Amino acid sequence: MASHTSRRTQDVESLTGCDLKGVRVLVVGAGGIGCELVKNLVLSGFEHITMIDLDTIDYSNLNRQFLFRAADVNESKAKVAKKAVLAFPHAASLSIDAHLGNIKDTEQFGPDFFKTFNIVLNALDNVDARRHVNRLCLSVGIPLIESGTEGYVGQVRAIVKGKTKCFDVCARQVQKTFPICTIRNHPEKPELLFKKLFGGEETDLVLWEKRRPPVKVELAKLALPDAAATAREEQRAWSVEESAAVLLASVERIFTQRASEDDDDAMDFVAAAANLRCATFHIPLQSRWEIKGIAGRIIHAIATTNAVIAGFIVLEAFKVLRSVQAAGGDLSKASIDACRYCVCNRHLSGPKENQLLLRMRLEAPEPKCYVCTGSTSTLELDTASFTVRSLVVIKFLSFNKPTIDLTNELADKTVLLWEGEDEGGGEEGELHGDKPLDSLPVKLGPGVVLEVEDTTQALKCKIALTHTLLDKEEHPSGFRFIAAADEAAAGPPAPAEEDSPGGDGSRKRRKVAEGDAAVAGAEPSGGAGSGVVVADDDDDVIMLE
Amino acid sequence: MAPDNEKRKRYDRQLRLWGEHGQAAMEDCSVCLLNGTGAGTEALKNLVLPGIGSFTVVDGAVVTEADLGNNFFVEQRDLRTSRAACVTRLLQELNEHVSGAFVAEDIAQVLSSRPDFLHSFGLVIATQLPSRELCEVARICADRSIPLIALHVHGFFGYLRLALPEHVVVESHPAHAMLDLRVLAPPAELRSLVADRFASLAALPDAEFSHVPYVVLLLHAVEEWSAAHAGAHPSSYAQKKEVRALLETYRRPHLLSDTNIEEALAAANTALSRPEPSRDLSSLLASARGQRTLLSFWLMAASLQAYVAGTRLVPLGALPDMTADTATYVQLQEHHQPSSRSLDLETSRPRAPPPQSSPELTRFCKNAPHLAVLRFRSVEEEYAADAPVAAELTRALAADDPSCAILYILLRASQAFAAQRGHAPGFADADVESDMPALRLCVAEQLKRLGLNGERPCPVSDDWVAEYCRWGGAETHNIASVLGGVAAQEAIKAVTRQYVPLNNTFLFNGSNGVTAVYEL
Repeated sequence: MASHTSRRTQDVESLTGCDLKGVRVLVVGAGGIGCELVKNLVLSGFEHITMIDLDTIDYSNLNRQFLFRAADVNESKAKVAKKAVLAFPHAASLSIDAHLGNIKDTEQFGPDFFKTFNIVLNALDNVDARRHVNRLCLSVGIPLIESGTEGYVGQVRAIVKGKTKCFDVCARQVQKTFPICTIRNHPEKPELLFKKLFGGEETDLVLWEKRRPPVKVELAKLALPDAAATAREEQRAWSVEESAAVLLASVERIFTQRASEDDDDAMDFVAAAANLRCATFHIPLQSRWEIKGIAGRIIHAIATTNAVIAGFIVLEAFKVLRSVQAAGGDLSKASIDACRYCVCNRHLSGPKENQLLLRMRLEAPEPKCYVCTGSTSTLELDTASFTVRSLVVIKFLSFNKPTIDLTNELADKTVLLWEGEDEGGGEEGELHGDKPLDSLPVKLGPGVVLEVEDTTQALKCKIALTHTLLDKEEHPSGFRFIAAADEAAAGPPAPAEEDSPGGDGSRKRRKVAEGDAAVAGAEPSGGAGSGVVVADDDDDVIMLE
Repeated sequence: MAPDNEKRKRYDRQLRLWGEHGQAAMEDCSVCLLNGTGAGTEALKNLVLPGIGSFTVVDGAVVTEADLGNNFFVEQRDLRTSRAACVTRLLQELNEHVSGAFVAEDIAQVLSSRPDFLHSFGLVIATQLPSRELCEVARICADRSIPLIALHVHGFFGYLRLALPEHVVVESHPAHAMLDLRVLAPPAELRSLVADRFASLAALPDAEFSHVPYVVLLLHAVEEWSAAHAGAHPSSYAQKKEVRALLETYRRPHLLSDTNIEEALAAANTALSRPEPSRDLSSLLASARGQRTLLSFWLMAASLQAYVAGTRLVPLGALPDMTADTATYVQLQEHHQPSSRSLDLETSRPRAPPPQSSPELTRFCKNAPHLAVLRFRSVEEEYAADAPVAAELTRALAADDPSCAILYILLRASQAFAAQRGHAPGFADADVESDMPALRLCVAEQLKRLGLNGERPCPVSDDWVAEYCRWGGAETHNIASVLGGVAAQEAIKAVTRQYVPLNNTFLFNGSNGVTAVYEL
């Protein structure tokens, strides 16, 4: 092979003190961060790269995911990324594996698969998958570099078993959810749906004595314009008539052509339905574009932040690999003192005390983290309405294929509630997935806990249940999870800020980081040390829960 | 798919970040990249992807083995062909809405035959330029008010210098925006909303009470306090504390949620001050009258100054999020519109051009409390013999981690070294040892030039000199990638006039990840 290869590996080796020969790296996600990352890895001399992504390419990826072209839309991200990277100059010894698959598919990507890597790099766009990878890496003892971006903000950190806080502690708060009390069933005809949604009869909404009561939108009285022409208008708010026309047309399409690849039909439906609801309740009408932003919880995503973050992932990976190599390959003996929690700040600059990158020491593991130690946490919810199935279906605590027992530790009594698959396998009658939690064979009370074991994540933990009626607006999910760590009297120590070439104002900078996180809606600040968890560089519309 | 629709989908995730007007500014801009290096192509990639109008690569080099090792936008078959041509071809592939061109000559050569070559560009990104050429390019850019970003990657060190003409920012997105609810100066519409809907808090049923927006709670508390204090406004900390105590009395203990009360308590301190212009804004406005430029920013600023002089208030900012039912929030929002109407009159005076488009004026008013103007030291001044940078560098060298400042001095020394010898220190393996003494001499010379020769011991140790030589001027891709990200980010800030760009130097020590921003 050409001499540039030797020059490159020689550079990297001499500059980083890292021997990359034989190092196997797993990149989870081939999206915004993933594209940058795989490019950086190849040009930094990594030779064995495996990429996994379950997604296909969408137009909205093209503003940052530079390995993809318009012609690649609807193709597998992982496979196109591999092809694109191999088209550029690379070492003869480079091997890239690309998988179109879900990282949570443990048949394919279980602990044995993870064990074949020296390091795992997360370039994921959702908290659920990030938690899953975190658990697997902890259980098989492989170092993980965790990352996320959103708009101008991003962060990177190493997660090493027994040495750092794990991702679960930071992501405990589930992604923001909204109560959806409107669009529930699968009506057979559009007209039926229309009647159901806009025919009045509002029982579960606030009192109307002192407000303008909702008005009926009566389909029969509307003169419907052309739906297709209206739907192309993204920036202008549709009128009631236009909304009704688009709604009917989109429902028709959704129910007649289920295999629609594009989410346009769904988006038309949501935008039209939302506007009609707005009209009903005297809320100003919005444009389709605005509604897409609201309904889709669309995460801002740009190339620049991903470039910076991917660069830092590689730098942190070098640090971990170097120290593992120095410790003779023994992760438990490797020092991670050089690693830092890096936060990319949108207020890059401005006043001089603001820095582009905040660097903090990594936090020590939570002594009572339910993921790391399996200690008992508490779940507050309405035990009369929740069933085990409802908990599993909402991906409660990001479990994958949990086995759930209910145990009275005082009476030494256990009953199996749930086993394995999402649908709740096992024999009918043995399991109790559909019974309300307060009418299970073991009565709830002191000493009664759910014992959850998920072998696909090598995770075991205990959860106590407390019956509480929670405020629907504050807790749309209907439950509140209190991790054991939160109950410990003292909060975790704040990460020590350091390396401040400005020399002053380190407190200020810390505040900026938190402020950013709050604005980004990323992570509700759980405690002094919870820092920033930026959720996503996400793509598709998550519409209904 | 229709081109417009395709474009909208492609840019969806960024349009939500910088808006249609930000995108339009991007698409209006033509950028010139000097040298298609690793950092240069990475920066350009990050501008082509979001749809910069057009780009031109100026580069007299041919593709070498080293480029194949650190530059993603060259291919094996391009070896020994024009680097400008091949990076342009591959960058062009990223986005068909962007047009790319190249000139296969060094910029010095181009300028000698076409001195006005750079004049038509909206942004220049110069990478790995020797200091003499850099100063020449910077002078042209400064003369023609063209934003300039200079980049250098050397081993694990990254350097970025931003030199913008006077830069005004409307949408500065401050980290801590002023909370302006007009609690102490409520507009008439807000007063009548309260009188209509929330005249008596005590009379509201629980469900409604828990959705009373906190601004209304604050208004009630302030009114109650004023009534007890002969119509005065609470101003001291102690008085604000009394208002907070009044808010506490509104609590209904049987209610599950009193988020709105909590919000009111949290906001009490900041919301209970008159929304007067900050010192920064006042001085900005004071300079507006004297501006001879027709830039719309200064015309609007002059109008704003008149408004502020009359009212002693800044126009309303955006309404923050708060617990409220949607209908009330929307109603509040309607009353909380930026008072652009009062400015319209000013700008339509005979001496000014026709009134600005109203979205622009609305944005201006909405962001009025945090308008910013930046003035940059020129690169020429920085590189001059008596550059006023000693104080800043002395501070930087005294920081906990002075490595970024040390690397800056080494960069300046290595530029001098390269000017003398025609190559980077440690360029060839055999040179590493032999180049060290010469680089050390250059360091001493630069310290003197920078006004740092009094520093004892010498801030740049022999170990640093050795390390810098060991890097041999190699451009590592990963550092180039980070720097390309930062450069494009700053370019976007400059072009869209959103967020405050850094002023003026960003330094990155990639061996430990430390970054720093200095005004040099």
